[in-house]
Amino acid sequence: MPKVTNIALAGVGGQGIILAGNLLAQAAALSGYDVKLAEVHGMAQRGGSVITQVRFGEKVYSPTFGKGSADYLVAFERLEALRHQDILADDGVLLLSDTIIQPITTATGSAPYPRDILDRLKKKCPRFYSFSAEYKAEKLGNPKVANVLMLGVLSIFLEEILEAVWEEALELVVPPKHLELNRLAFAEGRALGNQLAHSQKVNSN
Amino acid sequence: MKVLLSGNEALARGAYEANVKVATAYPGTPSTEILETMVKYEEIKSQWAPNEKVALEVAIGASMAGVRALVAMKHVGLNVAADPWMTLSYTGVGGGLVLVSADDPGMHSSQNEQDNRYYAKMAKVPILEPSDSQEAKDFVGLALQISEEFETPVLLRTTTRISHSKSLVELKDRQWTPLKKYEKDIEKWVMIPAHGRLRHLVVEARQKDLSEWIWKSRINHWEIKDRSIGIITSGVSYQYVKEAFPEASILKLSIIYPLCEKQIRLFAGEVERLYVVEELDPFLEEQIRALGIEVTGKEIIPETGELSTEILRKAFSPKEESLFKNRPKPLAKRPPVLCAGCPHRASIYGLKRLGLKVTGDIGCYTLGALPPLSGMDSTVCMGASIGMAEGFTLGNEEYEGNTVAVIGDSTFLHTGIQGLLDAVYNNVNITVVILDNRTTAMTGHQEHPGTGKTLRGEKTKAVNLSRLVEALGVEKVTVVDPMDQEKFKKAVEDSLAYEGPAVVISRRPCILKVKKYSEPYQVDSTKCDGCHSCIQVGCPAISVTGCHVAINQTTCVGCGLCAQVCPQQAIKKVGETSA
Ligand SMILES: Cc1ncc(C[n+]2csc(CCOP(=O)(O)OP(=O)(O)O)c2C)c(N)n1
Repeated sequence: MPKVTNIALAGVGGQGIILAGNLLAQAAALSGYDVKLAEVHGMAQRGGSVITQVRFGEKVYSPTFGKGSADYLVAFERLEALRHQDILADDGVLLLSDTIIQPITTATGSAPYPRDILDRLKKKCPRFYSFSAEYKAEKLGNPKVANVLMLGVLSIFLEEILEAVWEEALELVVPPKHLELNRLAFAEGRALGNQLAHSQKVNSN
Repeated sequence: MKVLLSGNEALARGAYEANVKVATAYPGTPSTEILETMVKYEEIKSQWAPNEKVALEVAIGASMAGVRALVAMKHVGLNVAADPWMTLSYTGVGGGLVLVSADDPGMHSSQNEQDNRYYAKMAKVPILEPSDSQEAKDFVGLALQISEEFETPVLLRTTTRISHSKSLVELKDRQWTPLKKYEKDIEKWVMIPAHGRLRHLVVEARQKDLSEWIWKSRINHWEIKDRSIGIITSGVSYQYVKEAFPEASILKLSIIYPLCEKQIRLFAGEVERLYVVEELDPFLEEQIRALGIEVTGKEIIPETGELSTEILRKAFSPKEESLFKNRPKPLAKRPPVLCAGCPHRASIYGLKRLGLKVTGDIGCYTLGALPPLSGMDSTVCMGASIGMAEGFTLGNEEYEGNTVAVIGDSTFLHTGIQGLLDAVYNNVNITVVILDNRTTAMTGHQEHPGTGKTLRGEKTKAVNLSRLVEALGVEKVTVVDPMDQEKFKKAVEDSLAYEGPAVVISRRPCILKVKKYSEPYQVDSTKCDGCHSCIQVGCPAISVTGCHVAINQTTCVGCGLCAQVCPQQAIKKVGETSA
């Protein structure tokens, strides 16, 4: 079967994962791919753990994919990165917007928030990159645009989707009054991604 | 050009293209966005109903008037609408009528995972089941065409994965369809026994005509590849099958009821082993087996939850799994929680302090049943809290005077009114707390008859809850702000002490609509003695840090409930100096 690219976006309800998923799916659609996006609304949005899956390729059947099959996992919270890490394929890339949001179970002290998450992630995913995306987004004007910033980083990896297409997708998905800020965030993410790609090349030399 | 649409958006588009004139619904995940998208199309009269039964009845009326109608609901909504639904099968339609039932295998956001295909079988009504957004859109038109041709309502069944997944859809323009002009016909529309008997014959004949038509229509298609395995499937399961077994022969059913016997037999004859892959119950499987055809289904396919490509691969080639999997310690869970500043937290905490039995209902406040609030004893279905509180005290007098029902404003107007009427009628001593946050929050803030706005956002009359409750005969009605814990406590205590049914309207708008009360609060660590009373309110802005607690300054919205709860007065608004 022809190759389908699988991308999972995981985090906490309220972090803008639905918008990020739509941006990605829209960019893939504009690039001429068949696309499916699976998300869950309702209960899960009240601060619960959420995951959105996007798939694109010549022909996509199932809207979802299982463990060990994601090419990319974009995680927006540490614990959620660890929770969903096993969705990644062996050579999958993990991009983490590194922040901690205590779930009610750890906030009330009824379960521990693991301290060794980053180490565990490093051990499990050889291709693991983490960013202070919220901090960078805050400097741009609003920590909420960390979602779009992370997609900017991701866009460097997805060479099959051209930069101009992302621009167009942003216009389709983001409400006009927030467009400028989101463009900035996306550009910042791309810059970060480029640095990363560059340092990788240097390393492999 | 193709556009990316969710199944729900596609269904709304389908209604537009197929000349639907009237669309109604009561919100419910995963169906809510169908009507929310429908308002975009000005040609369609779209409105929220107070519950699914009324929604369906409005659609039936529109159909009787001769136009095309769509009614949407989540699976359990059809339990509420089942009464008109069953007899609508007998009357049949005028203009086409399609009922969208959005089922929720896996219970992403529901209290059960009932399989609504049985509702169509029980009513002897055809079912269409789309497998992506394109089909979701196209099947609305197809359903309406079948509806008019066979004078039957049609059930269009989606599941969460269809409703909430996006895929590419080719759009068309709105088409013209003729009005089915209303003419008085009491044998068709007045279902007294004498007429019902005649109509039942019509229903049975319709079933036969339909299965013949299915054969000719070629709506169901098959792909013969490797003949060693043949799979009958439909809906999203079709996608999983295609992905897991690209070489298998497949009969994809789009119209899944009634079954076309000839089609099933012919396909079964083409393959060596026949399988049925379907989510939830063995709906197709049982009917196929009843034809005397050998088939494998639920022996290997799970009956609970959603399916997936992975599950199918495992089901068809089970590997011996090692007993010892070396599983890591489970991670801390992240369940959904009431938002910081949610007024429901104050109400439920207030009831918990009084040590009451609480029969609960469905809405955001149901989250208050989970720890650490743990403030609810039951949740069954919308509206159940009131009747259950009544039965609970009737069943055991010990519970009289210490049992309350809690119910949201939207839920009260949905199916709570009759419960309260019953308590008044039978003079049962219960207290009902209506959690009036002025919206239908759980499903994403839809308007309802109490908010003063319609689905289109237009101004309308808002039902006055106190006067409504009084009109039902409740003589003790108190309106209170739950954020004032002392007043709330007194209102509930007085109501419990009152002889006869009493109502407390706990009124405070949803925090997501208000956004913020004031500056955030903070903990004075010199005063905090680490008793963790504030932790017990279960606010996502408060967390344990060592022996003390901390309030997250970005998530706190300044509701001040924690400050009221703190016995040491250690919690103060930022900027306020502690006394
Ligand atoms: C028969 C039925 N229809 C719809 C739903 C979906 N649903 C669950 S709760 C709810 C309404 C919640 O509104 P409200 O009672 O005002 O409480 P809130 O969420 O605002 O706290 C809805 C629509 C359902 N569970 N059952």
